[in-house]
Amino acid sequence: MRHGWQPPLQRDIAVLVLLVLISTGIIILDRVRSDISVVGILSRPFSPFLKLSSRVMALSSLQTENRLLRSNLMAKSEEEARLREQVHEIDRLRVLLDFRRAHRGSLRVSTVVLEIETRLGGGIVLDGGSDSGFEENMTVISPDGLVGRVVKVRKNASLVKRIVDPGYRVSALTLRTRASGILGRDNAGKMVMEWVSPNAEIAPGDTVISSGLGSVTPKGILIGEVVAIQDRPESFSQSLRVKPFVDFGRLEEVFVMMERPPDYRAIIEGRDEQR
Amino acid sequence: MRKFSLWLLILITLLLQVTLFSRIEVAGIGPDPVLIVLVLVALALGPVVGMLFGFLIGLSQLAILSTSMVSAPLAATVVGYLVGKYGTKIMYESYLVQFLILILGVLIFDIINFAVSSPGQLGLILVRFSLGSALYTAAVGVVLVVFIERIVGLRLIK
Repeated sequence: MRHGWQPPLQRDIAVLVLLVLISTGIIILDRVRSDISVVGILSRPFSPFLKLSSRVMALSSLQTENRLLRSNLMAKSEEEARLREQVHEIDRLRVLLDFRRAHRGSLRVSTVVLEIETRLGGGIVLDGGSDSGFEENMTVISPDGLVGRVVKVRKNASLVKRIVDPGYRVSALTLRTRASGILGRDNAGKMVMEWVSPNAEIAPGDTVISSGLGSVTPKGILIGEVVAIQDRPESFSQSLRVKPFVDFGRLEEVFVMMERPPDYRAIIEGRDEQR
Repeated sequence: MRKFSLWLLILITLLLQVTLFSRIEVAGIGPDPVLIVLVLVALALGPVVGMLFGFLIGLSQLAILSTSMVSAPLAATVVGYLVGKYGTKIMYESYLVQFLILILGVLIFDIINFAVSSPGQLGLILVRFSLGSALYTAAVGVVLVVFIERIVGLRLIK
């Protein structure tokens, strides 16, 4: 043990008593004078240093907070994108559900047995015909959306023209903004919705459904989604590139809608008896 | 030179208290670097330097850390004196003895502080808070001494 300075016992005790008295004085002052902050008085000379250190510590906590907020923001963005996708899906499913409810019991399943090349007019052949109750102009759908319509019926088979085949036209509208137009295949083989109002507010990702005009295809059948928008100033319209929901390369079974919407034109012209 | 070293030691200790040691709390109980340094200083330099160091570090806690424990200078003075006076009379080179002295130092410090600030709950606080804190502080203190003496090769207590 090495002690640089060993005072006599009396001095030892004297220093202790002095320090205890000062310490006790601090306690008593703090208790008696509640209007005076002993800690405040003692820390006053250190206040510039304390302010600086509190700022440094605040900066450090800000950095941590910033990192936390950034990660939270990223998580929220991902969640928002997922929710938006779910909302989009819910919209689609709602339309499909409404459609199913409206046509309960009027759908008949049929199997796709043959695909005819596009250069021959295009289409698919179903294994059911007039013996199954199928008639021309009946609408054909799949769980994903509109497939096409029956164009030729034999006893045991039917030919269906798909919406992607040349010459097929269907009246359509966008689900969100209700902008209407005519959907068909263009010269490049892509599906295009034409004659859409130039003022219509359309965005990529908007869902396109059948409008019900034309008395062949019922209203509300899902068709596809908008993938590109092109202004057509020469015809005062917009042209929408549409990607169909139905994957025509994997079509195995379809639903034939046994009920057709009323042909109001024939009714007006007095030809409804011939239908 | 020694005065400067002691002031530097006080500043480093308080810095450690608000940075490193506040992050190794377990269930709200953390080691107290002030008491570790105080006990080691008192053991190494005797009762007078021990109590002076205790008084100054207690005062610094009030001034720099703005702690509400106004009895800290009194408690640290008494601990510094007692450890310097009686701790040096036993085999304090042993790590086990240092461990026990640290526990006693923390308990005396807490008894004085809580007897002044909340005398009605002294027993409860000692059982719930001080015992765990004393054990934790003593363990960290001995590990620190072993580290400095064995790894760094610096003899703290000769």
